[in-house]
Amino acid sequence: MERLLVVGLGNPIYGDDGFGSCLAQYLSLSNSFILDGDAHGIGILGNLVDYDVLVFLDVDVKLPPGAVAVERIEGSLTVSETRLVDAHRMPPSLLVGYLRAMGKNPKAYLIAVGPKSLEPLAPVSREVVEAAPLVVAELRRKLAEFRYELVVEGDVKKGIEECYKRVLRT
Amino acid sequence: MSTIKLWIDPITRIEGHLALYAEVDSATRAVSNAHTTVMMFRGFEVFLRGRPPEDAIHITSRTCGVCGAAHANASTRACDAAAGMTPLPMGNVLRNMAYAMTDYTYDHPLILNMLEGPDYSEAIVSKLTPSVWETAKQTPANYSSIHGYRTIADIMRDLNPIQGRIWQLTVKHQRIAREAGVLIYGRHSHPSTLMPAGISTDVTLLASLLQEYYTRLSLLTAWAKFVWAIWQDLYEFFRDHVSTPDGRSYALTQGKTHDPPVMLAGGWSDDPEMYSNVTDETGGDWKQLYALLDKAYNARWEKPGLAIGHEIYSKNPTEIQLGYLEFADSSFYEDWVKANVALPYGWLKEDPLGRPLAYGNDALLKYHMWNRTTIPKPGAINFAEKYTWAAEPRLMLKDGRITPIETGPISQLWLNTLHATKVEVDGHKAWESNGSQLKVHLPGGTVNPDLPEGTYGELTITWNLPKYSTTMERLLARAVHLALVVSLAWANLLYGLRLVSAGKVQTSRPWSFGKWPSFSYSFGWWQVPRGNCMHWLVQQNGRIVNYQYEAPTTPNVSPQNSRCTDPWKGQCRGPFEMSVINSKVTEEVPPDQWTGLDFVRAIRSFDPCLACAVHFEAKGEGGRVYNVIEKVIWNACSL
Repeated sequence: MERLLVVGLGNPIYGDDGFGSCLAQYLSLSNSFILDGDAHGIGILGNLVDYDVLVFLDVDVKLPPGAVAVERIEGSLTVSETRLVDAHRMPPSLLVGYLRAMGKNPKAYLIAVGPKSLEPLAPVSREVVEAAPLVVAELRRKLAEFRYELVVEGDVKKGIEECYKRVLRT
Repeated sequence: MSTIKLWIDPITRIEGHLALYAEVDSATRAVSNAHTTVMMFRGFEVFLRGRPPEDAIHITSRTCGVCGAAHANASTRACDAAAGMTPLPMGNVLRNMAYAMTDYTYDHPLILNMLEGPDYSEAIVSKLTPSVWETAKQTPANYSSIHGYRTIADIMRDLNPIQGRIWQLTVKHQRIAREAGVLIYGRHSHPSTLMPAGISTDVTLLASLLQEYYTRLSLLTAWAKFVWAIWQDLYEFFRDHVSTPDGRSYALTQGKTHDPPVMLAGGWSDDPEMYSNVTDETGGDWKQLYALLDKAYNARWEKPGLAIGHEIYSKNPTEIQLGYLEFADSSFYEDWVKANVALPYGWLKEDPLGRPLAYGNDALLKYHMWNRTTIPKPGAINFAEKYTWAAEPRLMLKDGRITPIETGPISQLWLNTLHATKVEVDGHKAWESNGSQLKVHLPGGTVNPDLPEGTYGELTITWNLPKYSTTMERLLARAVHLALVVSLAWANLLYGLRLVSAGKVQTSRPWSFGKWPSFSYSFGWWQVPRGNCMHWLVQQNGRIVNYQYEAPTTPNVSPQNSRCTDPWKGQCRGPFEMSVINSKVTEEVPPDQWTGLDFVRAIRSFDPCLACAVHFEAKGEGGRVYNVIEKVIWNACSL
């Protein structure tokens, strides 16, 4: 069985950007292979080095609000390309680029949702919350390809909204 | 002969934004002038006013995304002292255990191998100094039995960024260290559990927490041996086989700072019993507690003090801080003394024990940190006047002399050595010193499947007190200090287990929100990976009236002014600038292709932290990574 890790990325202080982090936080309560990567940026790299398969949960600004996409992360970076614009904002593609420049070659996927607002302190948008069950369904399908089973307990949408409440103190 | 003018802006692989200007004689390769400039203003001191002191622990932590715990810890000690209360022994143990991991065991290897390491990697050495690379290929490593590398060139090859094995091992092990710290702090890099008089870590499953910590500490002990062995080898190579253009040992001369050196250290790792007992002795009276602070600081498992050359000037922080002054002659701040801007409590003239600040010098006491007011005054860079946002800390001594200040792992080892003492807990001898030499003991039985078996056994590391602080001495000191900290983590773990066996698992004294004296003032010093982190707090009825703090980098990055007295009159600038002035260009490329390698090596060896929102390099994610859409599902809700 391939070693697999699901990583949610994002910062709930920036509106829908926190979706991946909040979803991973919720799902990690019942699945040991899911990690909330928060907005750790390059700091999360050390958590990714030992896996054959990586599945990221994040927003993709190229998608319309609420649309869900399953994306495969291809290609690699040379050493000279592995520089940072910002140590905190690290998209999955750059993390995977770093790993491949390091000589690692994990299969990498992104299950993304299109954000509506990335404004500071904005609440999570309805479009993104409503998309959560679809993201979970696609995650379940992707995990099944690698013989991993996703356990989901309770209401995912509620879990995400509560995550935002904790962070924004609303 | 001509003068080469080098502007390096920004200096990368450091925290924050720093620029360097240096003038170099192309014939002698010597530096005739150098200035560093910090291009940012933070203003934390301004918005801390009026807030509860305990908030400062969490606000000052946000100064930096790497070493937030450094500020949180210094602030916690300032709050402990101003509240008149310290934690119970188990609280002190947990505070120490967490800090040993984040920041030290996380930070020191990252700084050495990922930020400073590339300067000593094959990629850089073979390109800019090919003759050094050729020598490295011929030079056998002295510590192969530990790290497994046959030659110095083999080490340099694995220090190559991204693809080098050492770089990659560092990525992995910094994670393990952060995990160990987060068991206690709750999160990295901003601890969520520190509070005055205690720590709020959930100890319901304390035995399990200690076991989780132990597992990681064992792996990291092997790691510390590996990292030390690499840097000890590099140090000896640059000492014995590499010369400066004037034929002197690279390691012993290049990047030298002041002569005589002025070394300041705060110490860290509070003695679990002593730092608790001071509260029992004083019954919560902050002034009485202040009177015992020197005793508590000197009981720390790393030792505080100020040394001038190889002499200890004072071991007592409350005494040293009487002369801790900060000026704004060359930095972008209004001189609050000339503008006569006093704080609401007027000019403080004495410490809580009635000893005069600045030893009674009425003009200078207003520059003491308890009297400092932060008034930004932005302007254009003018090296003859003001040129940086870094202020100018200086130490006034009892005899009226005024000195520049250096701090870092080298200053901590320096003070530990001069204290001539030892730290031993339950049969584990962590370290011992005799005034000129320091020995660090690391336990054996530390198996780490990623590392060679040479890292599994017991190891004693010997560090000899150097005459000067140089680029390579600072790097070696960081590597030795990593080993020392790991040894102290074991000491704290053993102490924690002893407390568990005795049932003494309570961590905190019953301090509660808003419980502050009507007026109190204090300071908190805590040695961190970059040097001594120093916070000064004045509070009134549970609100901050003045909060001033110095990152360790503040004295190190200080610009030039004319406040120092002899023998530092001609050296009245921070160690960064001094280290560049005392560097010679060793690059073996024509002068018009000089990159300033020796200067950035000198500055990076301090591990500068200029914490800000300015980021590393302006190069995009681009490259050749792309996402292939497998499918898109349109959510009905968004249609």
